Amino acid sequence: MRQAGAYSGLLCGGVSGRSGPHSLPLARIKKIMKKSGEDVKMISGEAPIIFSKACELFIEELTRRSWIMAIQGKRRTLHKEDLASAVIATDIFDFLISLVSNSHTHAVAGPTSVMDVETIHYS
Amino acid sequence: MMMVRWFSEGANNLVNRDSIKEGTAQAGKGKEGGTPSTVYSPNTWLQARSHSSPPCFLLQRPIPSPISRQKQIRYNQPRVPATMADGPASPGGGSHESGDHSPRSNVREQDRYLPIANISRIMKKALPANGKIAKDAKETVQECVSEFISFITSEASDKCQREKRKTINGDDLLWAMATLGFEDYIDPLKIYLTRYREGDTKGSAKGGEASSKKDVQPTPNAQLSHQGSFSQGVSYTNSQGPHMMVPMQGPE
Repeated sequence: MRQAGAYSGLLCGGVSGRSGPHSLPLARIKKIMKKSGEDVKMISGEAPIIFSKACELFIEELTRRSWIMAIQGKRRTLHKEDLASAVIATDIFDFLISLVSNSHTHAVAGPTSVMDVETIHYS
Repeated sequence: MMMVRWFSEGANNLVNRDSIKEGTAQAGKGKEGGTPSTVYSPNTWLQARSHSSPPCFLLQRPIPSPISRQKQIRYNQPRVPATMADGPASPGGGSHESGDHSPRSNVREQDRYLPIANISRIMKKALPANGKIAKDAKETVQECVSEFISFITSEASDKCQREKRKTINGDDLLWAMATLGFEDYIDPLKIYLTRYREGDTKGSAKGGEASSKKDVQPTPNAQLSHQGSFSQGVSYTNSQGPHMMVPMQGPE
């Protein structure tokens, strides 16, 4: 892989200051990519780099939207139900519905709360 | 059911894509192992799994202990079933059509998820200081991220196959994200990639500036202007232009 020194300036003030240039491990991302299909054989070097940032954006967005659900439930702790509500309320997270709603029975958000969430965009 | 309503309301194209992708994903899974048609409960499945012989490429990997988290079972259930858009399907419920216990389930957890510490750190960044995160929430996000990577990668991979290319490059991923509704990520990613390349090629000359603005916002700036046409909603079907991808400098 790459030498850390070559681009260590990129994120030296990174997530924790000691987390290396990328906040998520590139090798792991590549593994997950390869597992996503039989036909995924060759992956360009910058694909995991893009994903390391994309996953970060994705996690932040998911967390923020879930946090709104937690707040609406007058809680200060993020639970799985909040994630499920956020996923159900967000169109682009539809691919996660089956994943979050497995043991999820009661956290279907009402239309009003859904409208609130839909006004929040990634910034 | 609520979920059906959501599907029908806003995400018709997404559902279509999803179902297409599901088809390929399922086919891919089915190819690998003899998919038992029996419906297993989690416990019987674990027993059955430990007795069956995995394919040779998995043999050297340790089989996870039966006290594994429930999500290891869940992970192999079909993702969004295509039928969901049509009628009320039980949302990923229990054991319905869980016939495809592919050998992928034997893959170690470290190989299927990103580290939970990193994920938790990123989550905390998005929360106010008084926000707490339950463990089940972290684990769910961990699963969601892997699903996200697979989701995007499958779409990009389909595109590569259509265009008879073998390597999935960054352009394909950006195209897939835009196609699947994550066009808000494109601009930050382009900026990130530009900064990364600058840092990569010019050493740490621009590193200081980049690190101070690590969380790039999708504001147009000079870097974007010469980056080309990857703005939101532009035709991504023809994204093979020269605008985005410079060959990687590093070995990979």
